[in-house]
Amino acid sequence: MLSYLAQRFLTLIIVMIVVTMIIFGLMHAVPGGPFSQTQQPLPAFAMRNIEVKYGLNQPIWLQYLKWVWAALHGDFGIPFEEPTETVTQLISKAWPVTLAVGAWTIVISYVGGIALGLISAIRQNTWIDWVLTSFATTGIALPNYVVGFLLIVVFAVTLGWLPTGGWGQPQDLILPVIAFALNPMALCARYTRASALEVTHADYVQMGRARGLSEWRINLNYVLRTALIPLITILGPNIPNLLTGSIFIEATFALPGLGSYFTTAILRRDYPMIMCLVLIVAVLWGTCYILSDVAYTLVDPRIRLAGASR
Amino acid sequence: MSTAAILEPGRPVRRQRSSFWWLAWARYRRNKLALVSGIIAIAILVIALLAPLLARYGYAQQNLGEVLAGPSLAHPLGTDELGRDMLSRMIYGARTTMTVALLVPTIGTLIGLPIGVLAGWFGGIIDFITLRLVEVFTMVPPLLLALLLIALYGSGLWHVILFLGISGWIGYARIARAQYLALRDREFVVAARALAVPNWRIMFEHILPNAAGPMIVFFIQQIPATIFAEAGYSFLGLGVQDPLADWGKMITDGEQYLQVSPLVALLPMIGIALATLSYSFFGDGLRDALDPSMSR
Amino acid sequence: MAQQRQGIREREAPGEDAVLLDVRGLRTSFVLGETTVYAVQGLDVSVAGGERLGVVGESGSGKSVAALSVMGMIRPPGRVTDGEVRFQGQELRGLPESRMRRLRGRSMAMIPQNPLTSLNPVLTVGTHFQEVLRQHLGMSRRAALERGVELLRLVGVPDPTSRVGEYAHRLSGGQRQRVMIALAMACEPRLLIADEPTTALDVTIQAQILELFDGLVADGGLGAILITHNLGIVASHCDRVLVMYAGRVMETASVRELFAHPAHPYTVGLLRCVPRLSAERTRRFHAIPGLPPRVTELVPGCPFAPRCERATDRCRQETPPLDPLATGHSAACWHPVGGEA
Repeated sequence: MLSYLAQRFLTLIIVMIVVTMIIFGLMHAVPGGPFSQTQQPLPAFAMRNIEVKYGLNQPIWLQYLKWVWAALHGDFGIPFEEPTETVTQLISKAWPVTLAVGAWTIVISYVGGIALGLISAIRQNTWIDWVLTSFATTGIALPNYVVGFLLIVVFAVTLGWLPTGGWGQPQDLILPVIAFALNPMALCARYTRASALEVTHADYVQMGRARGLSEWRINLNYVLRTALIPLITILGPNIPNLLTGSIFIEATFALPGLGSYFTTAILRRDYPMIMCLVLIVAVLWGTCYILSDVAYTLVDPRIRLAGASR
Repeated sequence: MSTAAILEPGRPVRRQRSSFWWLAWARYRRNKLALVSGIIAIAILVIALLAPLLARYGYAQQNLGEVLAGPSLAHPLGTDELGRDMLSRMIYGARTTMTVALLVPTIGTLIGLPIGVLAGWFGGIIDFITLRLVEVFTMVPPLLLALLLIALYGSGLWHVILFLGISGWIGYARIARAQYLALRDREFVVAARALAVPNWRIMFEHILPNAAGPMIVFFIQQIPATIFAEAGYSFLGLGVQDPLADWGKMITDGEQYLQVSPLVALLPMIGIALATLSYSFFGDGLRDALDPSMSR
Repeated sequence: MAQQRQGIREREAPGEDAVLLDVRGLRTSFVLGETTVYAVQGLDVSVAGGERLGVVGESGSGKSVAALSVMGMIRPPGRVTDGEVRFQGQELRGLPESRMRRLRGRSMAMIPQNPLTSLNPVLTVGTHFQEVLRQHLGMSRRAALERGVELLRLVGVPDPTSRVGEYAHRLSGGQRQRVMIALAMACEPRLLIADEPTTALDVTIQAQILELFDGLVADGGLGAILITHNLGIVASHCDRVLVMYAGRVMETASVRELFAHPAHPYTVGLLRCVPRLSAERTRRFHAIPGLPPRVTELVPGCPFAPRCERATDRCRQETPPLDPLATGHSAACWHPVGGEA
């Protein structure tokens, strides 16, 4: 088990390196750097000075290695856009916002989705099933920022109950999280329902009932526990998506999170920023991937024990 | 065996079609939701195909004298901020949206299917490399990759299609691989190999028809996600450019006029909602129909 | 339809031979879209303590559905539409689910057909016991676990103390079936229903499981219903037999009587299908022509008529009632073998 983990971890590191190399190379491959797109073209010597300052005149592989070295020390350089702060500082200010929104979204969408899906499956084909499924369905109908926009129009502008955007008070979380969580919650509910329905007809569930076990026990220990297992591989890797924030939601609600940096950095070829963001995303993905793999093996005894005898 | 006879001494033999596809169709037919969704989905597709015939005006045809007008005889759904006919814009928007929605999964399939098939069938080193490749691409979220490509190579309809297609190939590869891995050890494949049927023949003629079901379902289920992604790019201003009509772009452009002329933004919203919902349920219904274990 | 129950030893005094289960006129159907499948039509059956009743029939004859109906486990789209089910004198139909749950697993227990899929894959064997014993008998966790070990020993599972901590997938088919039997016996039920308990097992294991079954029934004075399609099993492990076809009882008798003097043409056909070593080498295998029906319409007439060589017009138009032919032997036939022509 441990060797399996170590192996996965190693592969992860290697893949991460490859990813960063690819992105790095991609950025530098196309002509036109971050400063060739400013409003007024800079005089040649100014360009050269800037290049030297940011080390852009050195060979690519050297730049990459320097970046890796600095990154290992936690130094991600200075963003081209706002040279007064470091990338680390900017990101550490924006990251908590994105994280807060993401974390709440995960909790609400997963817990809510699983609950809705389970109830729908238990009460299959009744009016409850119909209502819950319809509700979950609305979550997949529109892109989340459109939903966000509609929420703003209804709750902030028309009814004035909630703020239209910005960050600072607890209420600022409500609308963005709702808008963001609707889609994953709907998907989660659908998957849970489908999985639970498959399990409901299983022999061991029927035999559990034949032994007179209470419906609660049947639903939780027999249906839900086994239905969730296959879901881990789907829900787990979705977490980084939610954690790295939605560009669209942050734009719609004017949240000072990572999302805005994504777009602006990429468009303006802000290399230090891009690399740091890519690294964050890659690390998150990799970790969640491994964690969900591990969770999967832990939760399903059939796999856990098979792995031990490997 | 394509027919089954029901034997009853004394009673005439009744023949009943029982091929796989016929049964699947029968199952699908019983699912009202899937049936309706399928009809809507195909209707949208037909509208998209016949756009030039159905739309009265061109999608770029401006009439600055009638900006943000409400419904009228000349413009049954009103006009937008540049005086363009909303009905026509909606029809052409269907065309753009469907083009993207169908081409992106196609590209994904073209890239991912062969890779997945080879990895699943041959296993070994090919599978190993494929899995690593998948991991690399997984760690770069498709959005990021596509954004990067757009930043590097420019935006526009065809760019969006290409980049979304490229960045999304993994799903198709995974499904193809899973299918081929599973089917490779089934008895009918073993039998074919025992008969010295060449590999490529087995892969195409024996396995592919069996594996096609889930892959088709996946393809259709990717359509709503693609629509969202493409609309997202329009939201960021990186997608389709003016004057091309695209539902996502129309929403973004029309949001500011919501108080004045709500139809401009609401109509494309309805369009997207209809398209995503209908294709989602269509995909679900297809999956249920093709999966025999779903029947009672 | 007047059905007469014959020959079950009826003693008023409680105890081993008292009537445990008394089913009359049981009807169960399934509504699938526009079609209704009448899985059980008018079943009468009784089981006394210490008695092993075999229920024989082909697939689709309604035997499993009947068992589930008795235990109150039929769920929509299925429904028990008619009949009385008396268990230990108490009418089960109409009981609220909470009361039924107290009976299930405690006073009446079931042994399933497929042991490979009958255990919860994420729970240990021990947890299965703990669930049942705590639910029905209120035992503590530890006591329940110890009882579980005892029960495993009772059913012949080797090394029960370590088995108890294992998950289902580590056990062989035979072992899993023993676990299922142990679970069924956990609360000392009065009635045991075994639904084709050996169909999914190797032949060598079958004998062991059936012997275990016999032993438990004899020792505990339990009433048992053994559902099977295998006449050989019925011959060796049952006291009485019920033959089902298309949801109805065709014949019922003691095992001896049935094998010696089968009356219903269906039974005769079934017995003839069993190949014998003593038969002439050149004889071909016998088969009953045709297929058993899936009853979607209630029409009068004997359901076996289309396949019966003795069928007359009366058979096709009037449904034969279950008539007593001799003590303890009834058949639903207008022209039983050995009886009136």
